[in-house]
Amino acid sequence: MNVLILTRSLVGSRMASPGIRAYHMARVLAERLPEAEVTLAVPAASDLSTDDLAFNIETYDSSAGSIIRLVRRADVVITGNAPPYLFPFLRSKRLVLDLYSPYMPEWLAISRVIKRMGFRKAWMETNRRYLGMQLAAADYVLCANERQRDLYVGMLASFGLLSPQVYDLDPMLGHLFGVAPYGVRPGAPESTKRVLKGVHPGIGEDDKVLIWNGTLIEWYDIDTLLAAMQLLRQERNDIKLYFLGTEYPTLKMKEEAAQSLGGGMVRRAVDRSEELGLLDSTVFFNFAWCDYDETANYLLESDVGVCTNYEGIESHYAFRTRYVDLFWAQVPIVCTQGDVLAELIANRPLGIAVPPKDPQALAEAIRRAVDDEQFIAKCKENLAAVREEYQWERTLQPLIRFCQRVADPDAGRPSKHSGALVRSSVSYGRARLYQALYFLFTSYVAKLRRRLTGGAPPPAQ
Amino acid sequence: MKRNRILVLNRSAFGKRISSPGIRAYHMADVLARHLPEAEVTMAIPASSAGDYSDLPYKVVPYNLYGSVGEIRHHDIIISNGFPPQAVTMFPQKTFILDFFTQHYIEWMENTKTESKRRNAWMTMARNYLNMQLTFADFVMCANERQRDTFIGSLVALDLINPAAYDSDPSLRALIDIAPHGVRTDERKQVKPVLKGVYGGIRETDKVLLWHGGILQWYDPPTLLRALAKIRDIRDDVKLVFVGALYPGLSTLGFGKRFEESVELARELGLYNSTVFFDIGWVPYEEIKDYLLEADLAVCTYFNNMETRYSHRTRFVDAFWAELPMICTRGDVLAELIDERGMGLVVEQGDVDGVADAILKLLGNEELYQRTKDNIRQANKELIWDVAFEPLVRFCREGTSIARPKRERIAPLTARAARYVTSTLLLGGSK
Repeated sequence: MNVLILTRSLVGSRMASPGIRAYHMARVLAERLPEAEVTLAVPAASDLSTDDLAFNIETYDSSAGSIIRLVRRADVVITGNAPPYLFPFLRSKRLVLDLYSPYMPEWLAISRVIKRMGFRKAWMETNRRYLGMQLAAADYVLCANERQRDLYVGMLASFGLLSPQVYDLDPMLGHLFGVAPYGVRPGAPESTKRVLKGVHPGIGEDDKVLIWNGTLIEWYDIDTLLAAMQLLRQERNDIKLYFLGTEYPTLKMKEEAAQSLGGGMVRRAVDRSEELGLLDSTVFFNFAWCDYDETANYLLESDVGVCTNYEGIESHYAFRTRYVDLFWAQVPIVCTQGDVLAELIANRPLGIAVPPKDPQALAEAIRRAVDDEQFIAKCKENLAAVREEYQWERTLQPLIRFCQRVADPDAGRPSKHSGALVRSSVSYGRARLYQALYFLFTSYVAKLRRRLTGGAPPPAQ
Repeated sequence: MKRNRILVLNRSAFGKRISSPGIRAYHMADVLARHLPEAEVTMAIPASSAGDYSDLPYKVVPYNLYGSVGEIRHHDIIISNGFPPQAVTMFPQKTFILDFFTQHYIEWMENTKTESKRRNAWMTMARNYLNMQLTFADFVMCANERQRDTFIGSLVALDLINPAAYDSDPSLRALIDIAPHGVRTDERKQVKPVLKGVYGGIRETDKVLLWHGGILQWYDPPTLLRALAKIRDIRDDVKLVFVGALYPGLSTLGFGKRFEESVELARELGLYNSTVFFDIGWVPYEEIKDYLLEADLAVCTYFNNMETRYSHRTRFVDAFWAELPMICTRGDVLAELIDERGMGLVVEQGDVDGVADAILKLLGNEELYQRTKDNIRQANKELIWDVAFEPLVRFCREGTSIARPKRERIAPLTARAARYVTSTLLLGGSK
């Protein structure tokens, strides 16, 4: 059996979470499916050492042909995003759609940067149909927690993809969905050199470091965090906030896209810190992406991991992969309530979850998380236990079982939703066409208006 | 938009033989009438439930298939768990609030298990129903967060989530919110004894377990029966009564099957009519109170599957009202509540020993039993109907719908309503 893991993300020393997940998926599947041949397909030349890897690494270029070639060889294709031109080639194969990152709520949040409502609606529409198409093509869907699964149950029911045949195979829909959260890195973290305390200018040896170990995207609430830091600054001088990894390491992106996916946020955060007089004295930014292997150094020197977000649909379904690194390094966490992991953090406890938009409560929680020795010790103990539960070998169990079922010649097999797939592809095509036409039409109208009034060109979208 | 004429369109049995949806509608109209004194609240009920309801604080009118549109025309806000297709004609002018308190699609999936031939046709109809109703809605209510998550998924799939909605309310609660089944506020007073020393086979000194509600497809009485067989070896004073287990008026989708199995098993185990009693026939809402107040424990065992995951069982809230400790299977939101707040004991699916142990534990430990009752009493304060329906009252009073504008929904609504009607006709039956 040939298993292909197709990722759009870089895999190597500069990996973001999709790439990391793909890498570990390949590793675990290769280990747990000894008879299978596992291939990890990556977009650019990976700088990962290929010695001692139990799986193959293949690169593909931007042409459809190179991906098709890889898909043709495979029996099971695992990807977060299956482009439509693959569909004819997937008929005899199993497609596992890895939706550990719930697109829809994220799009709703990201789409806010598109100021023109017409464009925004068209963009949402296209994306929604794309997702519908992906779900119609998929044989198995992975998600990060049960809430996301509930979301997809509703989606599939309305799309007409939740058939009695599938339900009968397993009334918990285990043949259709797998809850496979993001996992913890194997092994224990090791420090190779000092990077913060007593080394980084402004951070003293005895300071308490709060680390923001992820990106800054639209739905994160920096204002509340900085307000809390300001409150703390008024009473003490030893709590420092460090933003690690503020550049998103992806392939070349268009300027606007880079702006929207965090670029603007970073600028805002820096400006705000400066305004509050905290920049480079209490709040520090690391402007270079931190290598995958280097992160351990930062985490091990941190006292608390901090993450604040706005309340809403995005946080409701979120699974913040950065928390997993904090589990790994046993760093207690202070975060905003709202998502499944925040509940875990509050209940075990692994830290403290605070209400949104409340700098006082946040400051209070931070104080406890750096001063209360007993609490810290308890959290660290619980973190060690959670680290075990979130090992990749355990979180990917549903995927492993799925592949084993595929390999089993006697296993039953629900039929593909060809009708639904065709319908959803047509629907997607129409939406794309509409989006393109809408864009053309509005730019034409704008041009016409300029010519008639002799005015300046409109601002860029 | 003028909004003080509110119609609760109740499609289920009302009056003497009131059903769970009817009870919900009853309390809904009651809460609305009390909290919105300037509003005119009317309840429309099926013609078969017509009767004298003059003592209620709201108007009650019977309707039929054709008459419903007329009623809708005279009101501004229409609340129902299912709008009839012909109401599409009134769509642009009125505000429609959808009360989706069960995950219909999954429930139908379970119910149609016994219908091998027409299952796909049933499920197509169920899906079209789901899609049509969600498109109709200007505001959606459901019973718990999990149901809400599935309906949000459906709303996404149906293109009903407006980016502008997200801007005005990123939590989307102004579009879809929770209104769980509530606990009654009636006085807990026993009118007359119905079980101990009265019901044939139940002595005054016996301990009574009550299974109050239908034995539908997804319930698992055999596990409970086997547990009772075990208990009988230890003590002979524990009795189980199934009340309202089977009653006329239930739709005909093979609901009798589980019931028959259970009776069969009870006989096999030698429990029938000595330890376990099946009370056939409907017990009116008012009378069930006596059973709940007299019993010692409420029990309900089922399977931990998708249906359970999204369910919100009214019988549980009835037990809460009576401060009756509950033993139930793990898997649903109310089981979680019971577990967290110590309102009873939660057991694993199919765990016969677990059930037996739980029963013996609660009946044998007076201190635990009282503590459980206290916990229920505490929790009830937050669970009453007035608290449950707060989002609804708020919306009726001052809410603006953040659903997609009606002009954008009219075309898909008409299409989905047509699809629903077609699939119903193809099915050859009525829903």
